[in-house]
Amino acid sequence: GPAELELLERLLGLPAGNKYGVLGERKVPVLQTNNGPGLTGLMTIAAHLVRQAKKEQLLGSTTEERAVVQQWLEYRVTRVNGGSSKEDTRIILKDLNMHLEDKVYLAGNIFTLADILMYYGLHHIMVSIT
Amino acid sequence: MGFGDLRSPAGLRVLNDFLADRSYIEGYVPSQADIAVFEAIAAPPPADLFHALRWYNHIKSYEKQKASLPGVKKALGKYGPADVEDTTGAATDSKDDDDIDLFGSDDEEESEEAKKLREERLAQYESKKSKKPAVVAKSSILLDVKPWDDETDMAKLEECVRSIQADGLVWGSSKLVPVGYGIKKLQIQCVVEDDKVGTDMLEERITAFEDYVQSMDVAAFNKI
Repeated sequence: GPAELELLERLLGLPAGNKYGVLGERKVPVLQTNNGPGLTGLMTIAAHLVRQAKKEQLLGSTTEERAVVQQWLEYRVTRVNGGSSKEDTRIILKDLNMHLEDKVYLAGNIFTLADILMYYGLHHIMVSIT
Repeated sequence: MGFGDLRSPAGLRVLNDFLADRSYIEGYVPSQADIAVFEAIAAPPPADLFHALRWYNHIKSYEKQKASLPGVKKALGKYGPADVEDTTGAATDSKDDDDIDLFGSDDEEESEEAKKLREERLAQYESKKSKKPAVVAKSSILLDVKPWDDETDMAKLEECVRSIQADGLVWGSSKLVPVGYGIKKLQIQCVVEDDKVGTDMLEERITAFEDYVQSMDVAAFNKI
């Protein structure tokens, strides 16, 4: 949620000062903007912050890489949330293990937003199993 | 420290085990340490040493920037597990018996015997040289064939792939590997004669089965 986005801002070297809120039962993060309704959604806001920080390579540098980054952002938002069951967690870890078998980073050879968001999302799981 | 003889399968296995829980030879970013080890390896590690292969492909992607990676290239014996020695340099490249002194000694008059011996050796050398072209260059290729979705009939897809016939192409074993969301990719081995069959041709013919095949990748390529 917002805490994660604030961590991302720091990682990207952006100045603090963005205001975040949450929406609905699932606590979807919202970035308040000066005019109109805010920008909603974890991966949407994260990608926006990356572009604001002018670090577009974190979104991938080829068409394929960009697609793979999107794939894992979508994965993060649809499959990895705090309330995952043990079975879901196991499936997630297995998916990740298989995908990473021949790669160093999720998008292949470069570090991207996919790695960042999957890391944040899985941090609590990793901490509990190590 | 070291990995044994990196030119041998045993050395590659040591490297593979070392890289099982590491992304790089030293530290957490690519460095001259990785370049030093990369350059000691003749060809991509085989597919069963998947950690080494993953590392190899990753370091290969830094080929253009290798001069600017941090660190200083050291001898191979400075990297790897502490309890293994580096023996890579020990193997000499040319263990050729072909390094015969073809000119003999010009000092004395050649005796009949010496002349005969020299001519025998020359004949041997020539016949050894002429035998070489008979060795056919072959490669073992592992292909990843991806379907459109999880409803694609993988049995039919495999049939289509195996129906591709060509001089110098032999299909090997295959298996279905899940890639997430219920989709499975076909991983199939083949052996090709290098000057008759190339991966471009394989890709063209495999992706021609548009109804089943979404894409094809080379997962591994080894000279045999």
